[in-house]
Amino acid sequence: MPYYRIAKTAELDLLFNWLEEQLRQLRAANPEHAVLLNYLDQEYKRAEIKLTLLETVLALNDPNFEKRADKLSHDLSRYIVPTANHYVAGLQCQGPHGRQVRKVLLRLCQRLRLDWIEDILTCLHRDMAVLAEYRGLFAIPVFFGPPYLLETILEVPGIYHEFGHSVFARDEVFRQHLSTIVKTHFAQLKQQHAPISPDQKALREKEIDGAAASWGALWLAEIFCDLFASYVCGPAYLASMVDLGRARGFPPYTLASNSHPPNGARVMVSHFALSDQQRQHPTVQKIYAAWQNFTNSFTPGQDYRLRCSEELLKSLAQEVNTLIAQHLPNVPRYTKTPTDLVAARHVQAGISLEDLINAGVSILFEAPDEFANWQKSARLLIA
Amino acid sequence: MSLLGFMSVKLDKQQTLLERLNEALLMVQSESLGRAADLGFNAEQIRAAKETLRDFVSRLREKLDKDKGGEELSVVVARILEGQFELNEWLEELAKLETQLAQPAPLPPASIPTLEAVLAILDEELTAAFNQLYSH
Repeated sequence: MPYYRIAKTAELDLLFNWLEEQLRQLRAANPEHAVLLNYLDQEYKRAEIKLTLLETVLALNDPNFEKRADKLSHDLSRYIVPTANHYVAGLQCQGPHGRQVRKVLLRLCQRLRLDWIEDILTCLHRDMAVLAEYRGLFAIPVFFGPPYLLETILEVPGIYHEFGHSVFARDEVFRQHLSTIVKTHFAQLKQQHAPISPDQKALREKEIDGAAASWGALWLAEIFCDLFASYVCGPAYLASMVDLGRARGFPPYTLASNSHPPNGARVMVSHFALSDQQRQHPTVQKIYAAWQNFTNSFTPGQDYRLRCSEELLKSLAQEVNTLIAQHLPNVPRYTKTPTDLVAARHVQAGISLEDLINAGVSILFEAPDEFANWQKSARLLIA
Repeated sequence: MSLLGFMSVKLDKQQTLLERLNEALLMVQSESLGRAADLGFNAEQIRAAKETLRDFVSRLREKLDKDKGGEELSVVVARILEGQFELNEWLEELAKLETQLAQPAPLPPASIPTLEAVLAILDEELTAAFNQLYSH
């Protein structure tokens, strides 16, 4: 007798009853999340049909179907975990502040024409991240962020990076194009060398292959998100990246983790992504100088120079700007230069978040003594 | 800016694919063993299930043979290439499966283990990634 399978299925049955009840209660408590709950109900019904199928398979008591029953059971467990951990728990703990941030994010998505996003669940208890995809759906992302997110100016641009993950994951075209740029770059690099011995050539090719291999799907996703954020919020994202790179003092040319390219490369692409006019603006030059002052005390190693050459980063930046304009023509590019100080001092209600954080960056870099007071009044404009 | 976002997307894509294939294999196997009606599957569902599997096998064969296609099959291909069977044996086996799945006749039960082996690789990879994200 397949005791374990029968017991496990009985437990799944109990979990499904629990989940159904939670979804019912959450619908009553969260009328503003009707769209999200409709999607959760839809997926629940699909999974429930699968649970009935599993019970039917087990009732056959045919050893030929044991493996199939196990796979159905795995599928159901893997449905429950993210649904319960992220959505049920997230809805249960989303307080008034989370709901306020949700509104800000929904308006942001509307402005950026990320039209596929219909509702957002916010969980403000950890570093920024977005669960962009749930059971093939991109309509109901979960946004994670720190509870103080909207109290800052330099962290807010990270929101645009996170929504870049939704853009990147939804359309394979971005990964394909960036991957081609990387492959072409390193293939060309193999051709460019002075006459060397076969041993030296083999060693050099091994190093180049190693550098190319670091540009896997993870790095491509992260660099795309940096470029997407630069595209939609301009100089403020560069300032945010400079802050990210400097705040913890981590060496800019060293890998901080396997998931992200080194900070040096990330700041550089964020700078390359800006228009010539933006890059030439004195405030942007000041922001970038703050980065260069920091990096001057570090020397990029051969490994970094091979992996993250300026030439490659420039090509990636140009490609992403072109791809977004081609594939998402309604997504607005932030083409403004940093706000002049007079205008930045007098930001008013109705200002977009992108304009507000760019004004904040102007104050921060041009009149830092005024920043604390400015921020107090500007914070009230984020609605 | 966390790994969670990237990993969850990767996981979701793998999970969606695997669920579709698991369900299709159950339907096709039930027909092979003469038990489709017992599980409530009709001819149209089985035809669609065969098409789902055939399309997957075809993409896998293409990826193995010419390294063409998306990222989703890269892991399976890497594991197949590391395995004890020669690439040619896999290509022949997959070509045979593709032909069989295109037929209206039930898939011979002897062909089920090949499909199971491929799906087992996807399942193992998904479980490993899932545990990485949700382990306790």
